[in-house]
Amino acid sequence: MAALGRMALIGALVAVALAIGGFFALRFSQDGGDVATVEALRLGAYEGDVGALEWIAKDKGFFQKVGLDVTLVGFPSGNAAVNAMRAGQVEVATAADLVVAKRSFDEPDLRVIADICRYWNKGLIGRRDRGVVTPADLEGKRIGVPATSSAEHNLVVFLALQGLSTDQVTTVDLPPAKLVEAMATATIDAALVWEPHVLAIRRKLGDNAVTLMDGGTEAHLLLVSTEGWLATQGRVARKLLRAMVMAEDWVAQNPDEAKAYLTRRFALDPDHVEVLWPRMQLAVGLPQEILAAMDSEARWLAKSGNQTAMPDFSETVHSAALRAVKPSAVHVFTK
Amino acid sequence: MKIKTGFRRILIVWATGTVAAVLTFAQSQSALFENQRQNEHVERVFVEGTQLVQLTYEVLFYGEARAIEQWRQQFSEVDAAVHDFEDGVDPTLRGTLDALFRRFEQLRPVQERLTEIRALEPASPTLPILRSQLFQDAIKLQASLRELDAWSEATLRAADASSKRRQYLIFGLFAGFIAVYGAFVSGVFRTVILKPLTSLGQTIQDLRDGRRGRAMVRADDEIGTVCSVFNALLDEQEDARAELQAMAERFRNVFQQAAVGMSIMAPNGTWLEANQCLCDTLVVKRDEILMADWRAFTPTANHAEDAARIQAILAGKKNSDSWETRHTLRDGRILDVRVTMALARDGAGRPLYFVTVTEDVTERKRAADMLEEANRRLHEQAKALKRSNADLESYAWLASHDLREPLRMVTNYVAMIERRLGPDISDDMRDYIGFAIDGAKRMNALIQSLLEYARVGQAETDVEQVALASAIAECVHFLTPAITESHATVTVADDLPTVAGVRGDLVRLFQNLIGNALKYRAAGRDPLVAISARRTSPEFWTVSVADNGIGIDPQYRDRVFGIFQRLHARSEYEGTGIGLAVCKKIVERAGGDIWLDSIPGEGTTFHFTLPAPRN
Repeated sequence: MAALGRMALIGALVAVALAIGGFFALRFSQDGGDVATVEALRLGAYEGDVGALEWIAKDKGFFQKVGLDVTLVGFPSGNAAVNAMRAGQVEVATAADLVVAKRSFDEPDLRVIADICRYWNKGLIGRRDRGVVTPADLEGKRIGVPATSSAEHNLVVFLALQGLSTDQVTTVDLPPAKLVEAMATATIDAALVWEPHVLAIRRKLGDNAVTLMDGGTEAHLLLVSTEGWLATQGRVARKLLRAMVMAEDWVAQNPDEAKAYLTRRFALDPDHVEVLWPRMQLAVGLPQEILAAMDSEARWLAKSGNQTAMPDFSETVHSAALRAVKPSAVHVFTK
Repeated sequence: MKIKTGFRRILIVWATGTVAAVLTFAQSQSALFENQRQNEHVERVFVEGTQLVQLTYEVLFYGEARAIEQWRQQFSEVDAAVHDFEDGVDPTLRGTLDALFRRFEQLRPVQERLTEIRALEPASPTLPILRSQLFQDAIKLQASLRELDAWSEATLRAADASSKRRQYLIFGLFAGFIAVYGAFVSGVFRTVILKPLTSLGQTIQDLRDGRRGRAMVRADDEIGTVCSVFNALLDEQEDARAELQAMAERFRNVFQQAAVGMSIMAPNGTWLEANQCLCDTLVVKRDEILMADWRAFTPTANHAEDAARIQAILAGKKNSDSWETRHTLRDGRILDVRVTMALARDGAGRPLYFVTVTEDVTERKRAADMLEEANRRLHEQAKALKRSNADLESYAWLASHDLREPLRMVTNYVAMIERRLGPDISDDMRDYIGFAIDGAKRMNALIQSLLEYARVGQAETDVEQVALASAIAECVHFLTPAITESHATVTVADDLPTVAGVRGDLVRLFQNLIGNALKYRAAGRDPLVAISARRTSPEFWTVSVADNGIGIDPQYRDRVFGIFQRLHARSEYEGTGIGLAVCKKIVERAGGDIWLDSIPGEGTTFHFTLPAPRN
């Protein structure tokens, strides 16, 4: 009788052990069954504050955790990153919504995988010695701005709000770093660019700098790839997004550490990071408004470029990957 | 620890647990309510913001003045609602709110500029840009509102789920606490109360079944106290039982070994028990007594009286009775017996049995009869003796009185013969006559002394309380001439008592003793007489009369109290030798005793005892 009871007890323990093991095995296969397979990815990342999620995912090992061997290549602008992607240097790039809107005229296969940051980090600085003290003083002035960037569109909107148009100023296309030099050397009278270059210009000009705009219009930093790549690398895309979500969670749970990371990683002033932090939201998602924004930007681009054909963004947003990883973050109306 | 204290602590712990659960639950609900308040605010922002977005579209597409005015009012509403968010807002909402603030703030300048340019420069190339931007801003604001709403719903769901989880956790913990605590209390209840009570019950059952047992005292609590008291009661009961048994044994022994016949008799007269002495008295075996009733051993003539006495006891007229009756033996002999009978009754007063003591008084009665006869004879002898004594005393009186008459005649006639013979008689004749007269005088003195001795106790005077000091004073008054003549000193102690006696006898007693002291004084020194007294027993005083006379040789200390006993020649000291005999008779008739201590040549002390007066 006692032996029978002992057998029953052992059997029950074995059954419980099997059940627990099976449960964890199932969880493992569901959450990261492909973790064991490490896949390589080259990611053209914006090397600045708003691109922090990519760098955090890399430095905190989240890419490794999801089975990705990511090679991060830093770029000063989204357009440069997409150019690199097109050049085959990277498979995925990060770029602002305007970059995608603008390039979609010629590159309909561009696909937005996710929005990883929305931000208001641009500034318009005028040179006091060049008579730029108020927005109205911009008329007739040389304004530097990186072409094919959110800053370019921001300038248009800013001027419109001042009752001006781009025809009433002279825009000078310069990459961000060059803009700083141009402002320092007075090659241009004003510049509209994003951080940290705005701060660099201020530092260069000192009291000679006049801030005409602080923050600017809203922009979104998007993870971008191509239709072709996504068709074959959907699993890598999901891994990428899973790692980005991990980075997002880490930032949410460790905001002070995240700010310290920004300060350290991008050589920023801590006080400046405190100013920037509320203007940038490091979150992975696919909001509906990026479609509206791109449409709006495309309309302006079409008009200013005298183009009649508008890009169709109905296929531009690739929501499947994010929907698989974090369905609650997908807010585009497209199913 | 006392059970009451223990269970009070259990209740306190239980109440503490319950209060903690209730407080935790309340705190949990409080967090939910706080979350709900925040979500209500979010809801307000969402509603107001959505209306602003709708008005933005109206302004954007049509630009009606009414729409613009409403837009401005609504903007103020939203502005107030948005800025009502406190600093301590949920951190997860911070990003959404930051976006909302920025998008909301960007809305107004674009709208105002659009409205302005519409009015002033309807064909301005910036108009489409502003319209596009306003559209974008409106969409983005709406997106922020959706985010806000989604966050609200999500947090509400999370809060609700969290609240439910907390409630489940609280209820689970509380249920677990209740279960564990209940098990603990149950265990304590079982250990502290049930087990001891079961053990006590088993002990009681054992006692009922006749087995010996004691309650187990497990702890120093109320039940332990009950068990201890129960054991003490058991001990007392056992002691009482043993005492009762011993007492029963003693009574049985007393009953069986009593020197008198003892029996227990039923109210109907049959014997229930009889001791050996009764069996021996009646010369029957015990069983034979127990098969009979009292009438079987009582002569018929005594039945009526015995039955009446028994009935009187049964009727409650007496509790017990004792009387003499007779028993008949098998051999026909009749015994005189004294029967003492008492009736035992139960609590309701119903008769139970008689306890009877039967004493064979045949011999005693015979002895009493003989004693009575002897007393009667003694009494008669005493009467005869008294008569004889009286006659003797009377004879002595008469003899002494009558003897003096012829003696006087002899004396008188001898004196007459001497006078007739005149002075010419010869000297021898004169000496003979003198001897005759002197002898007659001595004989008269002897008769006088004998008469005096006989008179002691003859007076019909009752015994009274006599103050010795008074009696001595009277005596000294009589002896004053002799005391003066002899230069004697008589000292009397101050604390002389009052005694029981005949005053005249006592005066004579002291008169004889003091007189002797004066008479037998030593040559060359004045007589000293000292009288004192002391209590030597509750009934008697001892009086001492000491002198400094010639003393008495110890060998004569008893002889001196005899009648006519003299230690000296008449030529040395006059007297008849009756004085101390009279003293002895006076003292002894008073119930006392007399004796002396003496040192010849130094003095004599007479001691005598006299009875103290009775109350």
